[in-house]
Formats: sequence, structure tokens, C-alpha cells
Amino acid sequence: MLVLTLTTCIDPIAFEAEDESRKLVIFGTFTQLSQEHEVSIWRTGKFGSLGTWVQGATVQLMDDEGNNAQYIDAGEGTYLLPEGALCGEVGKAYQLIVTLPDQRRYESTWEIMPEPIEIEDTYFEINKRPIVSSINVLVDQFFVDVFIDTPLRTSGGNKAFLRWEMEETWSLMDFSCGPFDDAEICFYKVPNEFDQLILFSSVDDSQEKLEKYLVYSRLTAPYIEFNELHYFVVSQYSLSESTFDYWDKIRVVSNQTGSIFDKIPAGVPGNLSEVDGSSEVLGYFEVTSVVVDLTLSTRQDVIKKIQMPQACNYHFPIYLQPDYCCYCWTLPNMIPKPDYWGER
Amino acid sequence: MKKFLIYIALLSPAWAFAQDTIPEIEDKDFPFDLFIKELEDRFEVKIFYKGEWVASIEDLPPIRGSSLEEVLTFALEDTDLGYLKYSGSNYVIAPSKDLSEVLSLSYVLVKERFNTSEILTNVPMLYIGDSSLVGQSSDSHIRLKILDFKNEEPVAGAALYIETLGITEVSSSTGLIDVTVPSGVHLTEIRMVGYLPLIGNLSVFSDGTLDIYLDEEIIELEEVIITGEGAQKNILGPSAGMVTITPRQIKELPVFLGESDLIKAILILPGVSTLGEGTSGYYVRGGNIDQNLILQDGALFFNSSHALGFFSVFNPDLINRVTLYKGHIPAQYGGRLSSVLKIDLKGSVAENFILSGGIGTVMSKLALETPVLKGKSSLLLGGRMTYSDYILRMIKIPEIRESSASFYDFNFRYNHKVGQNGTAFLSYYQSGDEVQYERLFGFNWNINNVSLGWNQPLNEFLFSELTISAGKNRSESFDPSQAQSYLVQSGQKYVKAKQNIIATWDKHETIAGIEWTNFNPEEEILYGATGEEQQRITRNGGHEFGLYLNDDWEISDLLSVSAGLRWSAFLEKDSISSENAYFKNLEPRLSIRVKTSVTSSVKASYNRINQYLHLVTNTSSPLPTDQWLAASENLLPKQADNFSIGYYKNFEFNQWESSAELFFRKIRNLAEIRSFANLILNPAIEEDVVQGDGRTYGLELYLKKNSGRLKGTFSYTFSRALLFVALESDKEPEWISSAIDRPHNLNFNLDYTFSKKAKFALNFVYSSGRPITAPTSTYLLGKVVVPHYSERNQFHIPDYHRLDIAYTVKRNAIRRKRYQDSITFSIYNLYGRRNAFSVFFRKDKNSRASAYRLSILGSAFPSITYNFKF
Repeated sequence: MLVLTLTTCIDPIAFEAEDESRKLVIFGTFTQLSQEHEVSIWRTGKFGSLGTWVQGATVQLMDDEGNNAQYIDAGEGTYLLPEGALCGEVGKAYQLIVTLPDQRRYESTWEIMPEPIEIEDTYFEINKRPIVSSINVLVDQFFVDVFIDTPLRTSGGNKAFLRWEMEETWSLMDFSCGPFDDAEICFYKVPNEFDQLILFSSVDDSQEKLEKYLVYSRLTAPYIEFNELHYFVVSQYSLSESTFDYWDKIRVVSNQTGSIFDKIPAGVPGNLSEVDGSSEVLGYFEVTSVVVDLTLSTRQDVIKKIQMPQACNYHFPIYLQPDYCCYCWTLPNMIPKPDYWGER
Repeated sequence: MKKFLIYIALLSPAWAFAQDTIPEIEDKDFPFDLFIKELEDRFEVKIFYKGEWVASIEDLPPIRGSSLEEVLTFALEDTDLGYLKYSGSNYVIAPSKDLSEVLSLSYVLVKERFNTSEILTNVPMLYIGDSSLVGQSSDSHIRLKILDFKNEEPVAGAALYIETLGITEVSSSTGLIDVTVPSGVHLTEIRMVGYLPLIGNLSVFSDGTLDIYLDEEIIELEEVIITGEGAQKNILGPSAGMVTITPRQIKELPVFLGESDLIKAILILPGVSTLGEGTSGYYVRGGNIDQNLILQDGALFFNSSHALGFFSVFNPDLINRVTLYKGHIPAQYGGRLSSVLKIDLKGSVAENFILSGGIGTVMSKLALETPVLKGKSSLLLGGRMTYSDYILRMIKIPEIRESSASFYDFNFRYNHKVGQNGTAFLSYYQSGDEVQYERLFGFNWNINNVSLGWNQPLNEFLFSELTISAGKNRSESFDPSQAQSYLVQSGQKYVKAKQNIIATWDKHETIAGIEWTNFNPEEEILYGATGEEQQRITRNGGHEFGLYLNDDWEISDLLSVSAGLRWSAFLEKDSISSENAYFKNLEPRLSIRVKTSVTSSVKASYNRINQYLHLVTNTSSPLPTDQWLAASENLLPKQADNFSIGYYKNFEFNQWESSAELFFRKIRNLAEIRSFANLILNPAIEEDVVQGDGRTYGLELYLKKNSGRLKGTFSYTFSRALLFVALESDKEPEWISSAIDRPHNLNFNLDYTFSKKAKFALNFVYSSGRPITAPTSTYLLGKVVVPHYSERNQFHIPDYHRLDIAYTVKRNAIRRKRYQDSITFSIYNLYGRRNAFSVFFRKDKNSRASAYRLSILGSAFPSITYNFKF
């Protein structure tokens, strides 16, 4: 271990292990929420790229009562099910049917929408932890850690199979640059670099409740990033056991570090297959119920109110200010005002 | 010796053309043995002497003269030594007083009885039979019993040569050699690895027996005698693919972190390999690590590695002998498909107190041999311990400073003479390992083994060996990170008893025996963050039985056979159900040796073996925490048919050994883990294991130079290891590479002796990259970039190669001074090859997936070790 830690090195390598066959990838999530639902259809690219999208497919959603709804081709491999076209109901089964322009047809297995499990509490902490700097020095840094408390049983008493996703946004206000420009409020969405799959299964767990379970963590500069309003939005997906197993396998293959502790990886088969054919299809049609919880930061005690990047200085002449100081929506990762922001 | 003056011209090619004038050149450190060796080479003679006789020589004065006699006379002028010529081209250097005794009454007696005119010399006289019966029979059947001088234990595998008769024989496991020779005097040599060769005049009067004692104390002579260690044993041994290794061979190799290592020593043999640095265990002829039976003093070892494979668990300072069976496995061994590694600790009753030790870069060691009851019993103690944690704490890189790694091992062996010829021992082994990386995850595991042995001759022909052993392995894997904090305990226990009765009769050595092993996995227990027990799983164990008979039969000088039959059985001990599975099998074993000339032989072997335990792993390489599973209705025992045929040839008086061997193994019910299977706390783990056929085959080439200033080995193995399994339930089985399928393996090892005080060693290793399951494309699932992996083991990582060197400086190497020490400087991976352990992907700065290689050793690794003995 000493040797391993002292002399182990990781470096890029040109590795020829390309699979020439461009496999079809279909991925979609259907929930009980009344909103647009999305299916993406791609073909795998060579290793390191995300491949090419598939246009012109027909995408259809069926339920076990014979109802169906058509997805709309929104371009770039994205197909959208309009809000209200088919509402998800807990306990009902759904199937996705995809027909490609070459008339090859793919179907998912029937997936039953599981019961949702409510989040009892969502909260965050600003914690200071040591990390290794670029010059190999131990430096204390601030992390924002988001935790949840949730029961591990559905209302029907079933065990929980959970997956979480996280969205973090804050607002900032730019300058009024001249008589014709009002100061505007923009909404910044933090790029999700915490892309680990956060999963939990209570199959082997006798606990009734999951407490202070870490679902999100990232390095933060609290005195800069935490404005007056700062939202953490946690989506808790209740999954079927098979869907959970799929994500668990995805987690294994996504977290390979090449070490001796890695589990042996493999291709992850999903729940879609070709009708009257045998070509391999990757991806998954996930039918899940989701609950969303959010927590709002107004922690004035730890947050110094800095609205704009440091390059913007109100006291400087306007012509010396970068454009984004006047037009905050030109900054990267700006999004329209999220619904949960309300009237704030 | 402080100073030697020699004629460097002896080393010069010019010598061949100008032997009449020898320039005098001074070489202060040229040792006596090499000086003699040069004389032997140049004058084409053999010169025999004992190291203790020449140890008193402080300075060799300048020597003048053109003939060998003149050189020797001059060299020994101021000493009490003399020399004697005999048999034309042989010389003996000995104390002058002993030389006069050569022409003793016994010599005269023999000379008179046999009316020989041949000039016999200053070598021991060995008498067999009744001298009054000389002349009654032209041939005599003699039985030699080769014994260890110190403990009087039989020496197996010693080679007897009677060159004038073209006779070569090897002693059996009870040390016996039976041979028919003409009555008369025969110049005879008896050699065995690790012992001083015995050269004597064997005076055969009539049929009879003789005990011959080999002295292993004088190590210097091994380097003096031209003929090599274990000469012709490779040719004459009845078993194909059997190799004996001595502690000296282990210590002569370039070493990692300055520590010699048993497993590193067997890796220079063809057909033996590892997956690289940082991986546990070793692989023999394409068999997985669980297919190797490892016994130390009869005790079973389920894990052979410390520190995730950087060191083996065996302390080389305590080892007396190591025997590796990788082809023919005699019937007395069973339960593992590929090989048997038998390690015997020093079993002699020590006469003197000996303390040895070493201080290295990361590890220190100490070994002690001491008499308890003079001539009756003795104690052997040894321990090794790392202090790598201390070094880790000194490193400024926080991840490393927050990590820990350590191991220790401890050996105890008590040897006791029982009665006239019996011996008994009590051997205990304990080791512990702990590895933790940056408070994120870690393992610890420990081994406890104890064995009790009693070896007792029952009469002149029967010998009894009884071994009772027990052991307990326990491992823990833990993840102290906050939300998923856990600790899982697991392990195995066993009890084993084995009784061998060895009969030596006529030209047979027959071993009959019975063996019983109770394998008992410990409960697997999960503890939560606060230490509370959360889950407990009981796994099935069982009783394994073996009943066997094996006979080594020297049919003629040309033909010998080792044939055996083993009945093996396994009774599952189901912890839940009372319906226990029961398996029984017959295992034929056969090895045939045909001597094709005095220096060559052909050996062929076949054996069938059943294995009732499976080691399953779901990681890239095995971990010490992996699960051993007993055979059951859902997990059938695996069975192998092993075939091999080889040609063995020695050259130049056995200075060179060579062999070429073909092997093929067919395996049934090989166990392979399904993709994504979880091993920890999986109550239905058998359902995640698929079984199928397997086959391994290959060619092994081996060349070894045994002696001289330059020694070395070259081995090349072509080997394939394939599985026929369906890893997914909805797929048809297909042939895939196993995780150890590396077709080309080459090992080149050199050892150059500059002087008695200094030597240089070099080791080069090359092998094909190991198979991996590689990502071939990537795709996006929502926000998650997912690599798509190939079929299992479809690709190979880049080839592996590495060069190591070591330079050792010794003090007091020739003289028998009580304190001896040495310093070894070594560089592992000299040219800093970044051998890939694995290839994986991760996102680069642009969030695109790129391939990376993980190299366990990313640079050259120098080390220094100080060893001492007194």
C-alpha cells in the first residue's frame, strides 16, 4: 500500500478497444408529475464521445388500460411527451414503444409505477474539510453538503429503492448600466459536477428511516456564492427493484477507477429490446414516482452579500466593466426563473 | 581473506597461447574459490577442498610456475595444506596430515581386496557389505540411506552418480537409494541442493546398506564445485514438473524493497506467473490462485500474500526447502487442481545459537535458532514487521498521510527428537495485514495456523509421517465514510489430519495414507456505524476426505514410474438444511520417466484432481477478503485432467539444465462470478456464480546455468487459459479468455559473482498484457456519462516488462567468523516502466471520457537492506 500510494500513477493512454457497432441508446423517465416527459434516442459514438442522435423516430407511451400517447420530435434526439398527454398513476404499468425511421421497432418491458416516498426533511450544511491542493498541500475548504431524512417504507409497507437528483440555483442582480438599462435579476444553475449516482436500497436494511443521508456535496465559496436566495431542490425517485438494479449497475461501471478494488465491469442491459430482432439496445425506460423537496438558504449570518462576479465593480466606469456586469444573462449557466422560485 | 594475489592472466584469453609465462598481477579481493575455479577451467581438472580448510588463509603469496602442480605448491607453501592428485585429472586440497591418512589401512585393505591398481585418493572411503564375502558375487545390491548430518532426517531427492558405471539414482522421500553395482571400488558422488556434495570411494564388498550423512553446514563448497546444485535431479526425478527451491536460490534474486521473497523466486520458473504488482497470489499453468495447494509444515494457507501481493506471507529466513509440483501431482496431495507448494521450515535440531535479521526500507526481520535440550530439541523463531505507517505519516500528501498500511508475521517451530530416529515438531504461524486508504475504505486480514508433526521410522522399510494442523483466517472490510459506514467480518477455519506410511522396498517407494480436512467458514457479520450488528450470514462448510496409494517404481535404469490412486470425497455441512451434498471421486495419477541418455530424459504425466472449494472474486484481481465457498448441490466441485510431457537435457557436467514441456489441462465446473454480483453478505451467492468448462494449454522452455561466476535462468512460457461459460442467464455459453490468459511470458535472470564479497543480479520479466473488460463506447443517461463495456476479458492491456537489478556486498563471507553481514542495493523496475495494471475511463476537463491507465509502480523503486547473522 505504501508503494501503491507513493508510486502509483494514472496517465492518459491511447487505448484501441473501439466497438465499431453503433448501439442504439434509448433513455426516458416517466413520472406521476404533471409535466413534460422526455425520451432521448442516440447511437453510441466512439469511446470518449457521446455519439449521434437519432431523428425521425416514432415514440409512443402505452398504459395497461390501453391508453397511449405520442411523443413529439423536439430535435437533437429529444422526444417530448406534452404535459397531460398521459398522466402517470401509481400502480399502473407503462410501456415505451420506439419505431425508428428504418421501421425497426423497440419495446420496453411493462414497468409499474411505484409508490412515492415523501422526504421528511432536506437541509444543508456548510462544512469545512481538508482537501489536497494542486501543490499537494492540505488546505481547509468549505463544502456545501445537502442531506435528507426519509422513511424507508412506502405507505403500503414496501421496501424503498431510491435515487436522488439535485438542482441548485441562486439569483444575482446585475448593474444598471446607463439610463436605458435596468438592473436585472438572473438565475444561476450550478453545473452538476456531483454526477455520482446517489442510490439507496432498504432490502438489506432493517432501518425504518434514513437520516442525514448525504445526497449532494460540492466545494463552495460561501461568501461569494450564497446570495440572499439560494435553493437546493432534491428530487427523490422511488424505483422498482429492477430499475434500482439497473442504476446500481450503471453506478458500478461509471465509478471505475482502474484499481484492484473495482468490480469487474460489463455492459449494462436495459429493459428495451428489439421486436423481431436481436440488436442490442442500451438505456432504460424508467417509470418512477418522484417527490421534490427544496430548501431555501437565507443565511445572512454566514453570507456576505455579493451579487456579481468580482470583476464587476460598481465604482468602475461602465466601459471598463465586462458585458455580463450589465447583462447578467450573458453569464454561463443562466436559466429562466425556475417555477419553485415563486414570487421571490 | 584480506588479500589474494592471483595471476590475472588466468582470466585472459592470452593465457591459452602463453601458458609458459604468467604475469603477476594483484587483485586484492579475488576469492580463493574463484581462483580455484579458474585453475580448474584452464587446466581442465577438478579440485576438491572444504571451505573450512582454506578459511585460515589470510594471504595468497605471489605464485610462479607454469604447471598446475607448481601453482598449487606455490599457493599452499605457507599453509598447512597440501594437495593430492588422483584419477588422472582430479586434485584434492586438504590438511597435510589428512593427506597422509589417505593411504590408510582401509585404503590398503580395499586395494588389496580388489587388487586394483587404480590410484585412489584423498576422498572418504565408504564401505558396504562384508569384506569376507568379496569374490562370491560379481554384483551386489546396495541400499544407501541419505540423511541430514544435523538432524538425521532422510534427505529426499539426493542424486547418486557413479560415472564410471553410468549410474545415476535419486533418493526417495525416505532418503533411500537402491542400486545394483559390481562389487569393487567406485568413485561416487552424492549431491543434493543445499548440501555439501559428498565424493567418496564406494567400496562394495557384498550386498549391504550404508547410512550417508550430508552436511548442509558448509555453504561455501556449493560455489566451489563445478557441477551444479541438484545436478541431474531434473532428469532423474520421477515427477514431471517438480521443482525444489532452496533458501539460497530465493535470496539470490533481485528483490523488491530489498526483501527476498519465496513467491518471487518461483515466478522465475516457467508456467508460474502473477497479474503484476499489487495483486495477490500466483498462477500456475493457467490455473487460478485458488487452484494452488499451499502447505507450510503441513498447515494449509488460503492466502499467500502480504500487502496485496507485494510480499508473500512466508519468511524466507526460516525456510529449509520448498517443493513445487506443477505437472505430476502425487496421490498424497489433493484438493487443488493446478499445483502444490510445499514449504518445510528448518527441521533440524539446532546445535548452536544463531541469530539473523535484517533492516530494510519498509520492513525489519529477526530469526533465531537455539538449542533447548542439547542434541535433543531446539527452537526456531522468526518475525517480520513493517513500519510503513511511520513513513506514510512523514509524507506531506494528505491522502497518503491519512492512509495506513502494515503487516507482520511470526513463526515458531519447536523440533524434538523422539527416540532413536524419530522427530516431532510443533509449528505455529500468525500474520496480520491492514490496509486503509484515506479513511475511505480498508481491509484487514489475519492468519493463524498451527501444526503438529511426528515422523518416525517403524522399521528398516517403513516410515510414518503424521501431521495434524488447524487454522483460522479472518478478514474484515470496512468503509468508514459517513453515510454508508460499515464493517464486514468473514473468514474460514479448518482442521486437518494426515497420516502417511512410507514403505521402501526393492526399487519401490510406496506411500499409503489417509487425509481429512474439515472446512468451516466463519459467519459473515455486518456491523453498522455505531458497531451494532446488522446482519449475519452463515455459509456452508464440509468435510473432505482422501485415501491414497502412490508408488514410485524404478523399473530399470532407463524407466521409472510414479503411479497412484486417490479416492477423494466431500460431505457438505449445510448450516440450514439437513440435505447435505456428497461427492466422491477416484483420481488416477501417473508419471513416467524414460531416461534417453545419461544426461537426458523424457517425462510424461497424467493426473485427475477434484477441488471442493471455490474462491470467487468480483474484482479485477483477487483480494484477501474474497469468499471461499464449499461445494454444494448448486456449486459443483471442479475437476481437472492434467496432461504434460517434457524433455529434459543437461549439458557440460550438469552445469546447464534445460527442459521443454507441453501441458494441457481440461477443467469441468470452473466457477466464474456473474457480472455485477455482490459477494458481501449475499446469502444466495451460489446463484451469482456460473460454472462451465475450462482449458489451459501451453509450452514451457527452461534453461539454467547452475554454477560458475555467471549463473542464471531463462524461461519462456506460451500459455492460454480459456473458459466456456454463459455469464448471463439469457446467453449461450462461449469460450472467453480467463482473467489470467497471458499467452507469452518470459523471465531472464542473471547472477554474476565479482568476488566472494560482491555479486550482481539482474532480472528481466516480460509478459503479454492481461485480459480486461474495456470500455468501447460512451453514452449519456440523463446527466450521467456511462461507458459501455465489452464482453468480459475481450481486450488486453499493454504488455508488461520490467528490469530489476541488485548488488550485494558481503563481509566475512569466506572465513567462518561468527558475525556475517551484507548490504543489498536494489532497484526494482530500473527503467521506470509504467506497466498498466488496468485501463479505465474518466472525464477530462471538457467532460469527455478519456482512457487512462493505472500503473501500480510508476517509477523505478530503489531500496537498501542490511542483513546480518551471528
